[in-house]
Amino acid sequence: MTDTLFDMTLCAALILAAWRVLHSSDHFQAVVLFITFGLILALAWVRLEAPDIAIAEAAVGASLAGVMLLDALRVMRSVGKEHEQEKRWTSVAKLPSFHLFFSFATVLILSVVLISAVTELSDAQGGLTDLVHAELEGSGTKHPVTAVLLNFRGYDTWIELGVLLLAVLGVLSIRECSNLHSLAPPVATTIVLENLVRGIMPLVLLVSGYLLWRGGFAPGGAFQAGVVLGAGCILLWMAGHRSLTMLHDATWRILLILGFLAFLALGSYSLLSTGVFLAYDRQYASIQIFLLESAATLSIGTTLAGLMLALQPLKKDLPR
Amino acid sequence: MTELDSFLLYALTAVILFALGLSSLLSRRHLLRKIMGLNIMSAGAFLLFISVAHRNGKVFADPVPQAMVITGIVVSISATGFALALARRIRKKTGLTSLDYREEPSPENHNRP
Repeated sequence: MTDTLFDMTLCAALILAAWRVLHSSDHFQAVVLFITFGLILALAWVRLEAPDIAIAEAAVGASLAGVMLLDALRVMRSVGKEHEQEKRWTSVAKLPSFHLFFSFATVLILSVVLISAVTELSDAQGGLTDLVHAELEGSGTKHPVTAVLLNFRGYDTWIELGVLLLAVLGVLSIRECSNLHSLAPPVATTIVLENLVRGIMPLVLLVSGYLLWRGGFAPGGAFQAGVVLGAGCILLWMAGHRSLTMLHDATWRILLILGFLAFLALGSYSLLSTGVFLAYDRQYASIQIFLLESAATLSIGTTLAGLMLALQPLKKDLPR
Repeated sequence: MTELDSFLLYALTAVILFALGLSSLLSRRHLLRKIMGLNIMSAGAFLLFISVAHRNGKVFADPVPQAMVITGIVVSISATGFALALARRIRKKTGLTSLDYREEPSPENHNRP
């Protein structure tokens, strides 16, 4: 009974938070509510017995996305005439009627189709849990989710590292800068903040390393560790430290492609020796997975931090 | 509550989140709201995925959808980062915070960083 009540409250809170994110009149309020939405969602993942996703969501959805949105809002806050317009358009009734009609008709039809599909799903059975547990022995890791990510569906993770790489390259090209050294130096903050952040950096590294190591047998792994690492780099930058720009340009580039390259190298090696891409030798599977995970952690961390830092003011934009 | 009811509760929440996100993507003008709407849509898709995984799981939810959603979360944050970069570029070049070019930007907004 208590469980039911909790689930219902959680779902109601999710819907309410989402509604407020999309319909509150103030953008700042919307962004803060979006962060709240991420935290409630992390709680929902725990209720659905998916702790790996809960850790990733808390780190990505609630913190990284929040920082990126707040930073974008600082630049994109509408002022003057446009702000008035945005406020007017907030009330749905002011939209042109055809626009209103089409968007609501689309949403309504889609919702009806989705609801009927979901209710039909309710008597479908199956899933791959048994298969994963049967193959877990000899996959090189004791945690099923890590086994799926790094072994059974290694392709997904490889391509995903490629997507991350593309995103950061895309942001750099939009900004028309080729590396992080064309960024203006970070804004100095108070000495207390900078030293506090410096002080907790070893802890961030420790947590990141712990999550990586823990991924071998329990919820955790390369993604969560990488996100914590990336968030640490961003925190350093915001406290006025040079963070990633301290690295030599070549070092940063190597860190960016390290994860993608590690997958490519191991995949090609297994393609040549066994004829199958990314098939691990059972004997060495655990060491291979550990190497891949470490490379992926470094790449994910530097890429996510790079995504955020590449949006900061450039040297050429500063008033002379 | 039986297994089935908890599945339906989360699955229907997922559909509602998806619909809310989509309606905001279609009807809000400010680009940040559109990006947030897109993120809420993807949260809905992930929630549906995991509600099925939870029902099919044993001790933990089914690990295959879990792994896919973790991949999805990281892809969606990189897509968000890229979208924000595009939105900021639009703002810088046109002074607008939406895609509606019929409205002339007010002069004091133009070319603000």
